Amino acid sequence: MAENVERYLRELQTALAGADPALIQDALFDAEEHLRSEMVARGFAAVSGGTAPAEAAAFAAVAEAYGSPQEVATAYLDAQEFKPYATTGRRAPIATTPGDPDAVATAQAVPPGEAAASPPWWKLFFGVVTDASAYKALFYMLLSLGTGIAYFTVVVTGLSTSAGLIILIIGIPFLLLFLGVVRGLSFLEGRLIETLLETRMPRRPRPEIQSGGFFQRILFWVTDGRTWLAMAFMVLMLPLGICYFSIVVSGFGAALWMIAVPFVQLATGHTYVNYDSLQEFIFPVWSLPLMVIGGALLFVISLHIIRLIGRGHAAFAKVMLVRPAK
Amino acid sequence: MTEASTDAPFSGEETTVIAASVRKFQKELSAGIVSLALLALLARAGQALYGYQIAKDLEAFADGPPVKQGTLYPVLRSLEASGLLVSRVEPSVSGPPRRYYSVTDAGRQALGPWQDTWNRTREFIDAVLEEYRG
Repeated sequence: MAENVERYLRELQTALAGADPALIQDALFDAEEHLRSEMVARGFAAVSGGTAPAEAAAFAAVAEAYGSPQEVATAYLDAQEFKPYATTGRRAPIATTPGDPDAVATAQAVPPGEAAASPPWWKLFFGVVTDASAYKALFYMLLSLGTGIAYFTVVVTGLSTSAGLIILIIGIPFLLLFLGVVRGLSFLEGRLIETLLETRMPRRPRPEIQSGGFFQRILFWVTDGRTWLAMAFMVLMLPLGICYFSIVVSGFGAALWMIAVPFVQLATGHTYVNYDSLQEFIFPVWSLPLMVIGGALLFVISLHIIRLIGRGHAAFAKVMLVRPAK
Repeated sequence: MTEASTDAPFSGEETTVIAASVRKFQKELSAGIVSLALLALLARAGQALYGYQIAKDLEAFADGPPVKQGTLYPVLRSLEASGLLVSRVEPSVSGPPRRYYSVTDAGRQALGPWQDTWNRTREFIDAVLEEYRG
């Protein structure tokens, strides 16, 4: 039985081992908010991690009313089944031992009904045109040029200014401010990814360290690998954003051009494919239907590529921004 | 657990079976009614409340909810995921940041039909139990 909030949170984390890391982070946030509020209401300090007998007895009653880590873990895993996009069909069972390989394997089990006959290939190929997730991924990729530039600028400016100011007294508050901004931005990026790329990301900001003094907090943030991974992600978002934006613009640009050219040529007699300012290339009439078909195919293929990149990027972001299950 | 008192007219094994069945029944029953209670409380509150406040407010009714407080939070989260609630995080003076929940228009509109379903269920169960009362 846990005798303080920290121990309880660790036990809850163990009970949730093998579940979605984002869900674990949410469950820990909720438990911490409730347990600390209750301890404060009973007259104990919020940040105390103490093990005094009176405090331990009070905490036992608080934890009893909140539910054992196993009960709470079950409730979160049950509630997960009602989320609007059930990407994982079966929920993770409660692991009895942390890092139980069976539990992790079952957590990634296939959705029910997956083994049923798959639709014909042409439906799989052209179905992407009516798939909203492909267009959402497209929007994310267009946006990523802007967000990539912003993240890169924030991290490079923040890091170099912090490094420069660290010898002055103002350096430490500035570093803390910068780390806080990184934390907030990675939470917002997670929300964006969940909305547009349909991958479960944390719905709460990452819990902060509660115990310890001012310098212990700084040490926690500076030595926490997650902070540096988030920064690396934000720096990488610039080249990635440029690539994503270019892929979308060139893929769709070429597809739309191929579809539009025959109509423009038939309507105006010009195609705007110039050799020099005087000569221009006119497509032979027999090639015009082929151009339209080719353009439509390129459009569908671009959507497939975009959806695939969207999934890959979401998986990458999850590795970089979400704390893995211990 | 008070069910396991020595003067119970059941053997030890039977007591365990009964206690387990009560827990299982309670868990199955609470899945929907907790959602209804939370939605009704937030619709009536007229302001955003955070999880701990909600848990405390619910305790003021009768003997409190028949579930552990920790199981209220995932229900709040799934109500939010289905669009009946919205939430925002705010820092607090005395501890970790708090998540404030409030009811959406869809949530307010859903409450009526939910209540009708509950009333029909309650009347039906009461009628059945009345018939079989020993």
